Amino acid sequence: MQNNNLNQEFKKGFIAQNPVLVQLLGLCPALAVTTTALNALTMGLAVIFVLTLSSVIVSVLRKLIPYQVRIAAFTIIIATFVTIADLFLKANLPELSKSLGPYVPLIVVNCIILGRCEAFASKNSFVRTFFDSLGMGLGFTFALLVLGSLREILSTGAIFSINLFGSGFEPMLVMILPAGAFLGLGVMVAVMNLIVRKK
Amino acid sequence: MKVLAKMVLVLGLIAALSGFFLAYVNQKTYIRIKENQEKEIARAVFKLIPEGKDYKTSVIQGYRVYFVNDESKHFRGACILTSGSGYQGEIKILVGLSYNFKSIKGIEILENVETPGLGGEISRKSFSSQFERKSVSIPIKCVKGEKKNSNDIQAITGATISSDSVTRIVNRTLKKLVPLIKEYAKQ
Repeated sequence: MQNNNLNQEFKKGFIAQNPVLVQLLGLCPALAVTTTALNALTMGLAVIFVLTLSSVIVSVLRKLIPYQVRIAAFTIIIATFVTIADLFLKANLPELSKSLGPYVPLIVVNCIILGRCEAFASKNSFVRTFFDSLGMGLGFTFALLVLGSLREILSTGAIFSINLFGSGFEPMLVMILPAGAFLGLGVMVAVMNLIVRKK
Repeated sequence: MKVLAKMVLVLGLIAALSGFFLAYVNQKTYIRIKENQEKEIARAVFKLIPEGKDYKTSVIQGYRVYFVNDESKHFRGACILTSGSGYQGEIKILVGLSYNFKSIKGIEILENVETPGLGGEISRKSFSSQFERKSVSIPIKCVKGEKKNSNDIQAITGATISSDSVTRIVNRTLKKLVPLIKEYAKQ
């Protein structure tokens, strides 16, 4: 029963409560960094790192943090992990860090993370929180990766910079522009609605 | 009163721990980050002046200028680090000059936030290589369509503003800095 429960906490982040496609949270990075599949994946991994660690810490400290200052406390914890992630990327993956631009530091204000801290981590044990935030993080990464791959394939004919089609490929430029992000996201949300409604 | 004390204490403690961790991580990564930036400049400098072996950095009028020597310590050219505004944000460019400061060895776009797929193409060789061997004394002109004069470069289709911006930044930098660099090199 306990295991089943954890499994559910983990799985809901993918479909039933997917943060991007169902809850429609964290749309700013989802739209901005999905120009290539690699950018999307890196962003997703950074969010998983920040989300999981800050949720678990919030959950461990939940009884210690006074209710009145909880948001301030959550924000400090989140900002700490975001800065660590940002410094790590700058030191070890400078190229990627450059192409993600300001969106890594901006994870601080990503509402998925504060949302999970407030709605879940501050009320549940750290084991449950760990599975919940890992699931949410993976759901976010999955949504970004699909959108990033879609945009990269349509706009450059490549995925992870590996060319898929021959030289005859006519790129669909709009997909790499902001408008393409909205189009792609719209289609994905529509498909998600179909899936959720059928259930 | 008790709640207030607890609020201050807990928040203060969390902030202090956070500061401690960040100081630690910053110390661990600081050198690597600095090295990465230096490495990127070095890579670009030797790409523009391939015969170079080492360089000396000087700051002239707030611009960083790299004087490049080859293996036998002969001066082979200089690179200027410059920047200016593009269509969406700052464009950072390294401009390479020949040993006599008469022509451009090439330019390298180090950073840009132009529209990917359109203005972002300025960092492609097909655009930036047009600056190679251009004369320093005549301002470079960015034209649409066919090039007519020797100092024309062709703008990227659909990215006239980005192309113009690069040209403008290069022209402005050359006009301002080449006389100063000549002075400096004499000394």
